Amino acid sequence: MDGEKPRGSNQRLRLALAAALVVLVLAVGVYTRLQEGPYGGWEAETAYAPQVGEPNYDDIWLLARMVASEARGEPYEGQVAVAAVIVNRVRNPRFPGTVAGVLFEPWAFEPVLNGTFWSAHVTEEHIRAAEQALNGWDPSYGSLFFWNPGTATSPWIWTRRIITRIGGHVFGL
Amino acid sequence: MVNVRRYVALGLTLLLLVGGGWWLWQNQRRARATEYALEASYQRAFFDLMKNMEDLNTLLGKSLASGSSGQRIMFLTSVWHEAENARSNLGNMPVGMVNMMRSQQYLAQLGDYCYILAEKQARGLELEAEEWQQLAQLHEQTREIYAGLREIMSGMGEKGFQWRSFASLQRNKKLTPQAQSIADGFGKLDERLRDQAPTLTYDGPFSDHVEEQEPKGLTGERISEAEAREIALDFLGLAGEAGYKIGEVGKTRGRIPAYSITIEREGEDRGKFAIDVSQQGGHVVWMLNSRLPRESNISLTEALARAEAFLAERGLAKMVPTGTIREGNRLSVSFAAQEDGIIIYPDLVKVTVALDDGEIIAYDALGFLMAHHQRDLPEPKLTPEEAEKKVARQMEVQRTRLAVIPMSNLEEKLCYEVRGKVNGDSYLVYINAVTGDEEKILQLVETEAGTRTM
Repeated sequence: MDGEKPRGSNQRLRLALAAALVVLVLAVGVYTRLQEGPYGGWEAETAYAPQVGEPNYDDIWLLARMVASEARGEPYEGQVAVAAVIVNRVRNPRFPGTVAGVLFEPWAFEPVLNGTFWSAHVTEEHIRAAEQALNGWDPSYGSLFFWNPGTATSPWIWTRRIITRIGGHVFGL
Repeated sequence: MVNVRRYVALGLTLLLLVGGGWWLWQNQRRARATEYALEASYQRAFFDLMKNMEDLNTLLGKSLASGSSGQRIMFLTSVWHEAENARSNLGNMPVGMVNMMRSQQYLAQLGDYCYILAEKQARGLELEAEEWQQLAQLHEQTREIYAGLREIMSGMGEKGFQWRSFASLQRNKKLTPQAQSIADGFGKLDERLRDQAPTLTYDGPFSDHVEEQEPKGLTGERISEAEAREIALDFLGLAGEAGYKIGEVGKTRGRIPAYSITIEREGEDRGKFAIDVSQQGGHVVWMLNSRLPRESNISLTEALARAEAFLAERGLAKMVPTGTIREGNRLSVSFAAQEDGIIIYPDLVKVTVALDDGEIIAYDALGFLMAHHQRDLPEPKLTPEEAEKKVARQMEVQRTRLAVIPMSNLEEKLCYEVRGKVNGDSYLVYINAVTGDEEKILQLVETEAGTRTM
């Protein structure tokens, strides 16, 4: 009789601990999910709220995401150049006439194909680089293509005229 | 006991199998639903593209057949719309394995060209023989493209073709014979255009001559790499100072061939400068500093003064600020040249000021170097008062001044820039100072960042 009482309360204690653990795990899960937001931390990272009459907002959002997924770790001017290539394509008759049209053209960009476009972590630097390109800075001098010489798989890309190299990317027409 | 254990093990295995099977089936179902949704959007793009091409052919035919310029203007502007739709649908097709760039360009130029022709007739001008000929040729080509698409469709067989097999294709994987013949069909369409479509030189933004533009503002002799380095240091105010590191100098081969120089200052986090100096004449083309200012300590007025002083110190004293945009702790200012009180918008220079300490962290003179030249401006035939009478009657005019503006085809026009309000919204209306034509309207949109023109 004496031994049973502690055993019973021990069991209850264990049960309570297990329940607490489950609740904790769930809470952490829900919390991180909330933190991430629908697009992997954009809201948490910046206070860049949409503004009325801000025509470039959507383009900046998309361009910054492109910079984050294609030019992460590149020098700042290389990030601006990647965003500028997208802007150059929008203005060029050979490509669709909107930023979204260019980015989501089937087969156009690796991050869109493999999903890293959506999971990329967008920082303030990426947003500034996107803005700089939209404001007209173009370190790529009108380039329409960029590729990584180490990992580019298409032999066709090397038939392009090379304009410049910045960081790990080659830019060309 | 042994039997019970065996049953329990058996039961558990069964449960796992059933559970696993159910899970796989669920996943499969979800994947298939996604695939069908994707397929639907590809099919829509393809069939809409065919419809676009048929419509384009009809509209161009009617433009040729119409004897009324009013009707023809309607047909030609419809061509412009329909060509844009066709471009968008082509851009949504998963045919990335074949190069469709000439087709995209063809559609863009087709719409652009017809828009310009419509505009010309709206101004009361007649089409010239060459333009009629060009229209007839474009008409014939749309018929051929439409026929080509129909041929691709007839090769799909009774069950049609599942476009998603293109989209989910992995690199270097072989296409099925049917898929290959469809890819070849698209490839042939583009090739035919590459061989046969005319080079279109006209007054629109997609005209071939716009892309082949040469810089007008590059003056001076070729400079050496060492000279370029000196110019860069001088430009950044680092000449004669210590405590910086210059990286390897690269060379660019774009419209303005340049030396690319990176400069890093030692010590505290002051960012890295990237600066391009033109090989001809040693002009600074652009500069970017990677630093992100963390706070705003100086006023926007002071930032603007810093930008003006920066340009003045570098021999660009005649530039006037034409717009500012604040982004985070930075202020970007656009400057245009000024000659005899006339604003020269094509001669554009941009400067970005860090709002923490007023340092200039970005500079861009590509526009200026492409456009700047000795201009032979015409004498205005209109007075400012006459120009103001040309704007909409309901516009409340606030200011009028002379300006040279770049048109979308890079042509420059001397205009009166009339700033005014209609129903509380601000606009800039450009009235040609020689002909009196209304050339362009920009709406000024006030945002928190600054005034944007649309």
